[in-house]
Amino acid sequence: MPVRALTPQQEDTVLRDFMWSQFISMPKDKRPKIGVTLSAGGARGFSHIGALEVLRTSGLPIDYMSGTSMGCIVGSLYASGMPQDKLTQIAANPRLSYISKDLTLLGFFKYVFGNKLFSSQSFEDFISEQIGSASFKDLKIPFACVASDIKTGEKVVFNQGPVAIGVRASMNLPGIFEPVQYRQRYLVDGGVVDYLPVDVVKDMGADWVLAVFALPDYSKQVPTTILGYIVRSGDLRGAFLTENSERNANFLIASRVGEINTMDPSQSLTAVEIGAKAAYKSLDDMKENLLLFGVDYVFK
Amino acid sequence: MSLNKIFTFILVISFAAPANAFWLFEQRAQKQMLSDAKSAYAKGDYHSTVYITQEFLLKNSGRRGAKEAYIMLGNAYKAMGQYDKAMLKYTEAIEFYPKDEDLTLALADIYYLGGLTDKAIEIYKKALVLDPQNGSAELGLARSYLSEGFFERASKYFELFVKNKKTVDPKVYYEYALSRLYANDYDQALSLAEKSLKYKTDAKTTFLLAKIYKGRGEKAKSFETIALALKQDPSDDEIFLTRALWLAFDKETASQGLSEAETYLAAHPDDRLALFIKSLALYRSGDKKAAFGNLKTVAESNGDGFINKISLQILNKQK
Repeated sequence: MPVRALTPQQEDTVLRDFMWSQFISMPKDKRPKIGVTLSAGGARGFSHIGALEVLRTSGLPIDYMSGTSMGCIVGSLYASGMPQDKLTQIAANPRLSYISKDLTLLGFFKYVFGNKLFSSQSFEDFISEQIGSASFKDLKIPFACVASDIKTGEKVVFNQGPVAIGVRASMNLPGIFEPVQYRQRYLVDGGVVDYLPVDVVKDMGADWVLAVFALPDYSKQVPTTILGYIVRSGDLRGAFLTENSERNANFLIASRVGEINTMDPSQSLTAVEIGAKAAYKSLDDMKENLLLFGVDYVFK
Repeated sequence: MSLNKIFTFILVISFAAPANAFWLFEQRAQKQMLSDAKSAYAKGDYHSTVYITQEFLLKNSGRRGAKEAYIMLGNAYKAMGQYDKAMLKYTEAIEFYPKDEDLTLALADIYYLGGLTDKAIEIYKKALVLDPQNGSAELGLARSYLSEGFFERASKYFELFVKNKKTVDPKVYYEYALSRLYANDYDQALSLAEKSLKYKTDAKTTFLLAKIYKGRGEKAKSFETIALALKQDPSDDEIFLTRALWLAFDKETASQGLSEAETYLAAHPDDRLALFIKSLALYRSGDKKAAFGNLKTVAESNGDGFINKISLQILNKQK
């Protein structure tokens, strides 16, 4: 007969781990459908790579994914089945030339004096290099991303057709990149209308939604450039939109990457680490939240 | 040689001799101090070790023997559980010897022991830059990542350590197996746990093996193995309650789970997990009324842990 009583926390862990292992081994049709949505956030969004690493090893089954802007980039690559090492490798070597070939001195000259926005065509090519000419239906995890139509103000959800153009449109910062013309629409960054697309993943069929948010912290930096102000305006609007999305998600993992500038990819690996740590710190609570939500399925 | 020159030579020698003798005497005294510190450390007299090495370092920081003294001083603080002071001393030493592997490792180890795993990872990585084949740094990184929850990264460094060092340490195989189990790689976890058990049989590893079988869906083997783990250490609550939980969850063995839970409750009447297991066993056996009665007790018991929350949730869903 045992003599060393477990602490309440140890007992909670025994039950949680057991229920979690039962839950993740259940067939898809016997458990709630799980959706993961990734927020916009520019370079801060590299934190999503770290968060997904932790989620992947936890065994969380992901049935649907959605993302906006940087969340769309990371989400599409993850949904295509890209291994973790490759994702981290991309984060380790971020280059502005992946986004646009116009980000040169001449390009900036034209931007400032010629009123000519940068083209984001290179980014479409970059995505195509990573996942080939895949269309949304080819992705291993059903995925959707959000862009905004600058002409009508409508939210445009990409969930069919070629992935690369959808991803390009979703991260196409207005005022910096020229709109992507696609099927009579003029598309810019999805963060303008839906910074954290919880509703999109719900519409896809998710019963339980995990939102992963690259948390900005505006108090740390005051913009000093025109570009900085444009990006900040987008971020502020995004934060405002996020409040509602957060409420609609079942669980939120917030990566505190506030000190990383939206447009500064040099700290991408730091962002990955912060994202991983934030996810790991929230992991037990996330498991409990999902198990409480899905208790019907476990205790049937 | 003129008489003058001979006289000058004798004069120089006679002045230099005491200085030389003093220097030699000093050298001997320093050596003696290090030797005294070593023997004090070997005897477990850490206070004396600290006193002697600090005295030594007052005069010899950055000189010959200082590295050894710093390591002894840090180790003595470590042995006394004063990790913060050990960290300080190793950090100070690294300022004098920035490329020293032993000191870098000692600093990383103390960060790990002190729970500053982030810093430990950073320093272990530095140690690997100094020597890419450094097994202790690989193992340190593996353990740090394991405790931080980065199971894939932990596995990568365990793999490197096992491959490079060809270790037969069962503890390393146990930890490596654990990292694979947490990463839901049951096949590799199985082979590693079996290797660990080949070198040493203990209840902890047998319990791990049982969990791996459970993850693989090998029901009979998992029950057989967890029973063996309990036989190896009948006083382990976690193994006892986990076995009761597994039994209670399965309809075929629920009555056995009920009896195990009741046995436990006889000794620990208020135990929330045992009460929960009893409810589950009753539910699986078809006695829903009794099951919910027990669950109510759990939900209303003190605490706001997961067991309380899940009991309340089940009750709410039944309404």
